[in-house]
Amino acid sequence: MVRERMRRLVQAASLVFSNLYLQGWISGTIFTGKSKMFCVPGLHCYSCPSSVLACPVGSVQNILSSEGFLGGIVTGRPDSIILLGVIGFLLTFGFLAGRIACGWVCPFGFLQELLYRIPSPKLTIPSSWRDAKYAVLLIFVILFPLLLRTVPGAGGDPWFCKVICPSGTLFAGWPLVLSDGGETLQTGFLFSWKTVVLVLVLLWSITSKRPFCRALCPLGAIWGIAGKVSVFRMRVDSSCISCDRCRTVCPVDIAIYKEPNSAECVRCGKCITVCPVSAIHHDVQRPENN
Amino acid sequence: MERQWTANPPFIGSNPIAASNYFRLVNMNRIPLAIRLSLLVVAILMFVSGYIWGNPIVIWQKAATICLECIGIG
Repeated sequence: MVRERMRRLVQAASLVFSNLYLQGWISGTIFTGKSKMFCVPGLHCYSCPSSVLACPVGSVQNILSSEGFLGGIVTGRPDSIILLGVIGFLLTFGFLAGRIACGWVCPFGFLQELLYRIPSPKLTIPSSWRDAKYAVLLIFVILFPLLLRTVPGAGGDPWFCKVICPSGTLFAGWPLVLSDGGETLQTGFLFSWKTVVLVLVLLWSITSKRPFCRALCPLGAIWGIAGKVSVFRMRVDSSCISCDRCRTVCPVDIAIYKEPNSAECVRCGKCITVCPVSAIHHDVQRPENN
Repeated sequence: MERQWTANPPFIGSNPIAASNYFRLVNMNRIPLAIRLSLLVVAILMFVSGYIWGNPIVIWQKAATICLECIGIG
């Protein structure tokens, strides 16, 4: 349980550390300091009033959708190189320990875990739904921002942020719209649509374990793929008795003894704590038994 | 059944379908630590070089203004 307490502490500390501009909630403004050149390892909107760091998914989309980005790759435009920096930032976490940031840092993952504690009928998510997040990554984070242009030659839109991201609606959209009182921020169909998405995700989080992380999150998709070759990984000994206790406590509902380095694993370590025969370990070098 | 690396991948000089079948059978968990560490080093270098040689102001400029698309207005 020490590990779980430590994880909660890290999750809470990350939330505080990335939201130091608290006066933004009162004034209805956002932080404009230089720390926003750097990304938070998690899904946290940079338009959140208190956020002092940038969202990596938003940053990738904004660079891809910028005017002249495609042509700039050939000429070594600075935007292309900074895109390399953001992708390098994401891959560093992924190649180090897969989706560890999902389990220990991401504020939206933390929120979903808290919501799941609300008593309600609990539902499982079909494993095939996990693949949807790869489509979200490819279509809404990469292809649409890169290729869709309303006006030829002009910049595009960050489509994931625009039509899906519930974190942006919750932590940035509603707070800013409420504090503005409709004076300058005019809401319309898009805002209503995003609110519907947010409500559905929040309700789903009460009945299922971290549904957004498992089915829709593009960050989870990137880290899940990179986690397949991460330095730190999970290992299950042959002493495993397949009691399934690990699956019961797992925040992403995986049976780690069947799939020790699942792309879904958020490396929270809950399974290590509950294993009655101590068969599950963090590991660096030794290959695990399947 | 235990899946292993083979010293001589069967698809070398062969067709792409054989290659994809081979990679499906290869257990990713058995990729040597040296390769995994190399990938990590490459990612760190990408990150550092991106921020040194690129233009992080690009990120800041967007992050320091209210993103209307992100909040569902734009």
